[in-house]
Amino acid sequence: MSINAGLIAHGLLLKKKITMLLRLAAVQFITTMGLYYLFYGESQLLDGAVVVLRVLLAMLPGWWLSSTQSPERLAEVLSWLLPHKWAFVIAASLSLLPFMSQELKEIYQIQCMRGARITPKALRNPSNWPEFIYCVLLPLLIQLLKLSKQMALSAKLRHFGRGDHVTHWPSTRDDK
Amino acid sequence: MQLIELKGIHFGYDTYQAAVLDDLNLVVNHGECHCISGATGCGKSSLLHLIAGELCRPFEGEMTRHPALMVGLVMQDPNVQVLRQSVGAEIAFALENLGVPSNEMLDKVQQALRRVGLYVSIDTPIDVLSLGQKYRLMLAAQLVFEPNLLLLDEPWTQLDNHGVQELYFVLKELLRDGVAIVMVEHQPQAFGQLVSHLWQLERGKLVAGLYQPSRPHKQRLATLVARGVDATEQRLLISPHRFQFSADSVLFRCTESLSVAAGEIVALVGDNGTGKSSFLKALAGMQADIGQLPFLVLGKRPKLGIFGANLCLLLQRPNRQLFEPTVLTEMQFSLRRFRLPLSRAERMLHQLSLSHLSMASPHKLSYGQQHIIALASLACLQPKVLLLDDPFAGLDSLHCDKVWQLLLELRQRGCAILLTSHREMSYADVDRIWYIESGYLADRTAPTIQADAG
Repeated sequence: MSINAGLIAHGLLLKKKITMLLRLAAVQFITTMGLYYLFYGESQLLDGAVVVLRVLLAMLPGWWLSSTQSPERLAEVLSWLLPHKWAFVIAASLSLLPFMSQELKEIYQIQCMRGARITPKALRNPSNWPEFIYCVLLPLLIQLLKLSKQMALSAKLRHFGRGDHVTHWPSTRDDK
Repeated sequence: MQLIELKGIHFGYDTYQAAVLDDLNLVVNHGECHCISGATGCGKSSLLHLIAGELCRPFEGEMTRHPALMVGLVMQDPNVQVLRQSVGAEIAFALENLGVPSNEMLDKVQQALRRVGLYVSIDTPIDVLSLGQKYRLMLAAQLVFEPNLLLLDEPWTQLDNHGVQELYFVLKELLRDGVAIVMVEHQPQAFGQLVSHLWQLERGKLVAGLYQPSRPHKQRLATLVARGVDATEQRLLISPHRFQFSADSVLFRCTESLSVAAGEIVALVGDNGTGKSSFLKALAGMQADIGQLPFLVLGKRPKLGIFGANLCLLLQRPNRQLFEPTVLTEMQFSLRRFRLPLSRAERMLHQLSLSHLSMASPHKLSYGQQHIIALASLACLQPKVLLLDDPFAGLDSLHCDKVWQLLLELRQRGCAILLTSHREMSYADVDRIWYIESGYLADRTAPTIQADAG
């Protein structure tokens, strides 16, 4: 608590904006409280508020780090802490996200056309939720496993993990 | 100079199954171009991985590699080999791992790009490249560390005709520089005189010659008449329009009205990246940010989920739609959801002579078999309109024939079929052909033009 208070004070002192974080917390507060009310009724609302507060406190150090430190500096620090292989895995996983979201959308649409009970209307009924897991998430997981195997092979074929000394592509440079 | 020699190689994935490679011998010298053909699943890709030294299981036999041997391997689908976001970083990946100093990378990367004839900026995001360009990018990512043996896995199936032509010239240059090439390919004629050794992989051994599967004679369209079908019933109607994503330039224009009638197979032919897939998705009502287009499917504006079993769509890589534990339940899934007779699934498997697979897990089948099962699970719904996105991509001729068998059967039942292809189609196979060429979509069906499906 006190560490977080210190971080807020330091961040605000450096005139960093905290509005985005507060807005996010507000949205989260509304949805969480709504769900708590629906599932558990009025008596548990305080518990819901505690959950929201915990999430907010967990996000504060991240806000402080990203608003007071530059991204280049963060990346540099990360490469000091993590071995090259780990840095590659993190970068590769992040670059997979757009592909996976596209894939999720397409598989969802294909299965909708095949008659699966996963349309937004059908999903209002919780008894159809397992269908969403079987027909969309399971095939997605299989795709992800296949893809990661292929990417690992592709990296190995380009000598990944062979040498001890690794250099870096100059992504920020002066053009010739 | 002898680069690699394989002597009496034995290799298998499973002790219970016959060996994939059995007493295989191969010698590859500097500047030679070997082409290997064979049935799907006969072990061609395993052989390439063995030569590259990246086989996941041990093998028996003798492999002699020249100390200076440096192998580059380009796998089939470029999309699954991309590791970075920009062209430069992707090509430099191998250099980073080899510890090449950062200040030397820029020159090497630019040289590799020029070598494959890819004239784009090194900061270009990889997403915007076409499939053919991505293939050459993957080639550049291998050439940058100057391999003297280059392995290619079925380049023809992935590339359109322009892509193949571009690759031809790159390979010609490489051979002239003394690089040896081993490619797995069913269409060696596409690479003409470049191929110096033609092999077929048969029962685990390499023998000279080209693999030609024995194919049952395919029925021609002209001999088939659709039964009790009103051929004037227009199932798909496409009015003149401009096809473009919002806030993007026009992909193509369509200046005439196009239609597909009941009992008709129409092919839509165009190069990779011309918008064929998005067009099909728009017809199925599942393409976002495309706006309202003047399309009528079964008399209605397309919207996801309103056509039920009457409209089916098979996207590329159809194996990703499989999820049931057995082939039979997979085929019955949609029948059950649309309350249609479940017996159709068994009948369909019997028709395709695939009854022996009915209790197998769809995830353990070969790529071709998965493709057929995914298509068959749509075909047994007997839809009124069937849309297929490049249904022959990556299939060998045996499986292609099974796809044709299914399509002809559906056509006879009066189904309107629109399929896309990145290659020329033969007028003997389909009723009409639409082309997307130089930014225009048009029906160019003329009886005088005779193209070969290749």
